[in-house]
Amino acid sequence: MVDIKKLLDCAGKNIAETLNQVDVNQIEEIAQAISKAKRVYTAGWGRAGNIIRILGMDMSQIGMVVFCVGDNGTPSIHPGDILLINSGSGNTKTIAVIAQQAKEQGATVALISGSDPTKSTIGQIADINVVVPRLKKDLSFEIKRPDPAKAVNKGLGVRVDWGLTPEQRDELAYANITGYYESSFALNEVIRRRVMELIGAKDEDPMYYHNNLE
Amino acid sequence: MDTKQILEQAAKHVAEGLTKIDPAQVDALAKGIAKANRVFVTGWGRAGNVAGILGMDMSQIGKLVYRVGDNNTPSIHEGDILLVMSGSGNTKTISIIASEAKAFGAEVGLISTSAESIIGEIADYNVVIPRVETPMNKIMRERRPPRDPKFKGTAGTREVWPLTDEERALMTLDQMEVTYQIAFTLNEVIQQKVMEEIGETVEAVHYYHNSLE
Repeated sequence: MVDIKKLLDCAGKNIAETLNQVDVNQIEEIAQAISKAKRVYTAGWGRAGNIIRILGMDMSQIGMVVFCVGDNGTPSIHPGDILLINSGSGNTKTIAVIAQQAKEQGATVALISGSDPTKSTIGQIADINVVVPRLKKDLSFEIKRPDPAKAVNKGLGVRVDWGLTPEQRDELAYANITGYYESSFALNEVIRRRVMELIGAKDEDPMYYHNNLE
Repeated sequence: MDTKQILEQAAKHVAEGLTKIDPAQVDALAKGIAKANRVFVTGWGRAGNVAGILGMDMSQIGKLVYRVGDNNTPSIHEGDILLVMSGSGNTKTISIIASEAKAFGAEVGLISTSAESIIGEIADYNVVIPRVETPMNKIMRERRPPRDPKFKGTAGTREVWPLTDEERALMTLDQMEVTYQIAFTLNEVIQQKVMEEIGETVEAVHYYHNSLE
C-alpha cells in the first residue's frame, strides 16, 4: 500500500526537479513570441491538450485574443499569429499536420514537449521549442513492456501485465507521481508571468478579463 | 433579398439532398452501429458538430458513445465503430484517426459527399450526401479566379469574386451550404433505423436524455 504522505512529498519533489531543468532562455523565447503575436491559437490532444488550453486561458486573462483549434469560434490563422502546442512526445501525428498547416499559412509555431525537439516531428516544424525534461527514474527493477515492433501505437490500448510485485508497484507510484504534464501545467504560470511583463499587463487584469458568464 | 424566398430555397435544397441519399447505405451504417459495442464520433468544424450530435442521438437510444478528444474517451477496440463526418472526406487529421481506428480492429463509418475520398477508402460504411448542383455552382466554376498555388485550399485567403449584383443575389439563394444541414437531418433517420435494429423505442430518448442541465 502506498504511503500518502510519501506520495505527496514525491509529487512536490518531482515537479521541483523537473522545473529546475527547464532552460530559462526557452521560456524567454516563447514569452517574447507570444507577447508579439496578434492572436494566440492552441492545439493538443488529451492531457497535453487540456494544459495548452489552460495556457490559452491564461493568455486570454491578461488581454490577448485566444482561440483553441477545433472550437466553433476559431477563425483562420494568419501571419503574425502564434500556434501554441503541447505534446509530450512531440510526435502526435494529427497535431503535426496542424503545425505544418500553421507554418504554411505564415504563423509562428511554438511547441512545449518532453522530448528532444531535434528528433520529434513537431519539434522540427516549430520555430520555438520549450522542453520540459522527463526525469530519469532510478527504479530498482526493469519494466518489461511489450515488444514495440509488435505493439500497435506503442502498446496503447493493449492489455498487458508487467508482472510486478506489490513493493515494486509502490516504488513505481512514487517515481511516477507527477511528471511531464504536471510540471508543464506549472510552467504555464511562469510563461504567463513573463508575458505579462512584456505586454505591460498588471496583476489586476485577470480580474477584468476573467469570464463573468459562469 | 426576400427572406421568405431564402427560406423556401433552403428547404428545397435540403429536401432534394435527402432524397438523393441511397437508403441501402443508411441501412448498412445503421446495422454497423447497432452491432457495435461502443460508438466513437469525430470530425472538425461543422462536420464535427454534426457528428457530435449523431453521437448524442446514439447515446439517447442507449448506445455507449465517446467523442474523440474528450477527456473520458478510452482506447478503441475491435467491435467498436468510429463514426466520421467530413464534407470532403479528405480531412487530413481525421484520416489519420480513421486509419488508427482500423488498425485497432474497429469499424469506420463515414458520412461525406464522396466515397472516393481518403477517408471514404478507409471506411467500412460510406453514406454519401450528393452535392446539390445549382446554377451558381456553374457560375463559380467559370468565374472564380485561379487559386494561390501557395495554399492547398482557399480557407484563410481573402478573395474577391467578380460577381454582378444579380449573381450575388442568385448566390444567396443557390450557393447555400446545405450539406451539413442535410447530414444533420440524416442523423434523425439513422437514429430511427438503429432504434429498430436494437429493438429500442421512442420512450428511450426520454429515459437517456441528459438530466443534469
